[in-house]
Amino acid sequence: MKLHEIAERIGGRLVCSGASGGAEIERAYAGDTISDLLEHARADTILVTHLHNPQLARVAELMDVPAVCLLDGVSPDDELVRAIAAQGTGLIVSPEGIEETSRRLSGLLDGSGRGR
Amino acid sequence: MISTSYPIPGGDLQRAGTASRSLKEQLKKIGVDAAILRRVMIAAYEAEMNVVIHARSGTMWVALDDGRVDIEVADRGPGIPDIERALREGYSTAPPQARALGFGAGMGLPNIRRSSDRFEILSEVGRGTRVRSTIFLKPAAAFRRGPGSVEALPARCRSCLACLKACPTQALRLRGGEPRVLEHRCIDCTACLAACPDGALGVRLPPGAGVPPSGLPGSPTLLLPAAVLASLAALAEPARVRSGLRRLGVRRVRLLEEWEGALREAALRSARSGEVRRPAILPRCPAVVNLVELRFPALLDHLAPFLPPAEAAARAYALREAALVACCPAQMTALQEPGGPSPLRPLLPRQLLEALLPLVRETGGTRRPAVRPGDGGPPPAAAGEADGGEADPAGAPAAYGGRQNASAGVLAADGGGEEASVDVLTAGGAAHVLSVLEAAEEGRLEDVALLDLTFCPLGCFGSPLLAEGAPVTRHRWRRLAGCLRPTEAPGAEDGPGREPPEALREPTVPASQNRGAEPERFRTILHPQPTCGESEAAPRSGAAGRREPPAEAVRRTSPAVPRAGLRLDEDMGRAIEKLSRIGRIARALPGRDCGVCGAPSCAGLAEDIVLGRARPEDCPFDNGGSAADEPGGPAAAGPGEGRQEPAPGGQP
Repeated sequence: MKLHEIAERIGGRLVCSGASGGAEIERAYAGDTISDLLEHARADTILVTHLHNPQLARVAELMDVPAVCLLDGVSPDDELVRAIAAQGTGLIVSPEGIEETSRRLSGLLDGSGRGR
Repeated sequence: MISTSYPIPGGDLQRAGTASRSLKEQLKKIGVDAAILRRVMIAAYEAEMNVVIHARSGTMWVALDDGRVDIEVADRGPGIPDIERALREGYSTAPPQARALGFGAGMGLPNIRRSSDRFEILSEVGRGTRVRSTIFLKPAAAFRRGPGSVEALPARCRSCLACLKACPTQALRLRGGEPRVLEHRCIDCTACLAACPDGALGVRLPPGAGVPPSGLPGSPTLLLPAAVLASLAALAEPARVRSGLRRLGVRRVRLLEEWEGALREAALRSARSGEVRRPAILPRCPAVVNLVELRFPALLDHLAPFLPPAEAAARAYALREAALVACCPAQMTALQEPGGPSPLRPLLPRQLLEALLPLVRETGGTRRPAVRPGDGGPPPAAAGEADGGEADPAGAPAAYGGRQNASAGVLAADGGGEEASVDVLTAGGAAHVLSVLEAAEEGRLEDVALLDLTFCPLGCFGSPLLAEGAPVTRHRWRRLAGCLRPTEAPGAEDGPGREPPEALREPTVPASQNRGAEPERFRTILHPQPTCGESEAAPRSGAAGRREPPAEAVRRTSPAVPRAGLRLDEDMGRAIEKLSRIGRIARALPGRDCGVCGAPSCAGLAEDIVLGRARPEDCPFDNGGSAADEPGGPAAAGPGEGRQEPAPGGQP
């Protein structure tokens, strides 16, 4: 599923479409620690997290993650947005918390997505 | 191999991760597989963030060859007091500011370990931490072995064939008058060095080995086997040797036998508890470990899961300035594990002697060379100028600390330990080691708890890198350490009729009554470098000096695995055909195993012919050309031949 479609279907906001905006996202992983996200990040996975600091961008960059989904309608810092955009990662913001966002993504990704 | 280092500044949590990003860019350029790259990134980033969060600064060092990526991240930081605890998932000491950014989940080190094929962590409180991670790019690389340390010096070879006959693994070839080492078969033992009368086989030195003209930097601790110390005593009076060591910059001397004693105790516990199968094999001699991996893979679960003493000592000093004198190629190879710049400097006995000789000569005459030419270089010029002075046994114990008993390791090693008489089988020399391992493989040694095997006779005392034979070197050591009873004291070097000096007439304390105090007493005696305010005549005690790491048995971080053999062909079908042809050619050859062809046996020549390393006409007795007429004919080496790949069963 494309990132813009995911943003639309979960009622979220597309901040950056990313270089891989056209890439298929097949899996979601939600977590709030860097090590956890690092371990489960994949090139087909959207990371769902409350974290919104530059190290989130670093993890996404190192692990070739196509997109990141922030939660609770947060407004990400300009620094994070710039870093995310510069490296070509997509960024969306969900209006919901981690549970509801994960539930919606799980339904969207046709059972292949996992969240927690 | 490509190696790169990246600096890691500590404390900057916002901009951290640049070293890992640079590494990723490099790896992507050479097309590393995405799944491998992912594991490398997890290991690199977690290790980098540990430095950023916990240390003042650090360095990431990366080495890359076609088979593996080695990452080492070293920092100058507070160190880890309890590594076992730090490796547990969920344990973290990250500060609040790091936790606020999502760090501090206690998953960093476990993530690195999980992502690595080989993982090692060394840490010392107040000094810093080193994390090493190896990730294999191809599965076969996990079994591949790097080059060993046996080096052929063709200019000295007279083609006497002695090395071919001596090698227990048929790792040598002699063609065109030049010896050649087959790395996949060499176990880094000393058999060929000992057999060669011309010094045509030696020990390959790594970059940075040796003693700089200005002396050893950093006031290092000198780690050496007791055998080397005994050999130095043959060089000059111990007081002068000690003075020479001081002038070389050596702050303290420690014996590898401290680690050997710890290893022996741990291995015995392991054997008696049933952790390893009986008879357990003491991994004291690294060449024996290599032999088990190569020729006796069925005995791998008999190997006590600890590192040999030299490697354990090297790890204890991985974060400190130290020099380690290796007594054989296997020890030298073990000190060259991939990693970043280490303060540990490997030396050969010859190099220590060459550096020490001028300093000793300035203060008096020398006696005799302490190493022989065959240890990889020319004999020191001064060795031939030895003044032939007699040893001064009275001076030896005084200069090295008085009448001391040897450590538990030394005593057990030379037959004086308690364990040696109970259920420990001790054997030295290649032929005995092979016969004992064969007996163990056949299940005939189940009544033995521990096999203590060394390729050199009497352990490192029999190293061919030392000038004198095993019995003489051990005798020197026992005298030096005060192990001998007075009536035994007049040794060969004293000559008949010479009275033992007064000091040797004093009764010695039996080792069995003194064992508990031995390590500390040894730490006390070997102090070349006085501290400020101390005179040279009064070396400081162990308690007063800078704290040294304890000598402990170190568990292997990965189990011993069968050594790679030679893959005859990339294609399984062609490999089977080649194997069949090797058998046919071997049967067609005369079976004399004379070595004249340059292979140690007719079977070896047959393999060489099939792999294109030799021709049928190399056999001087096969006049009828039966090997060449063998159906299918000798094959020229094809693509992929000679590659090292894992061989089931570990047979070469």
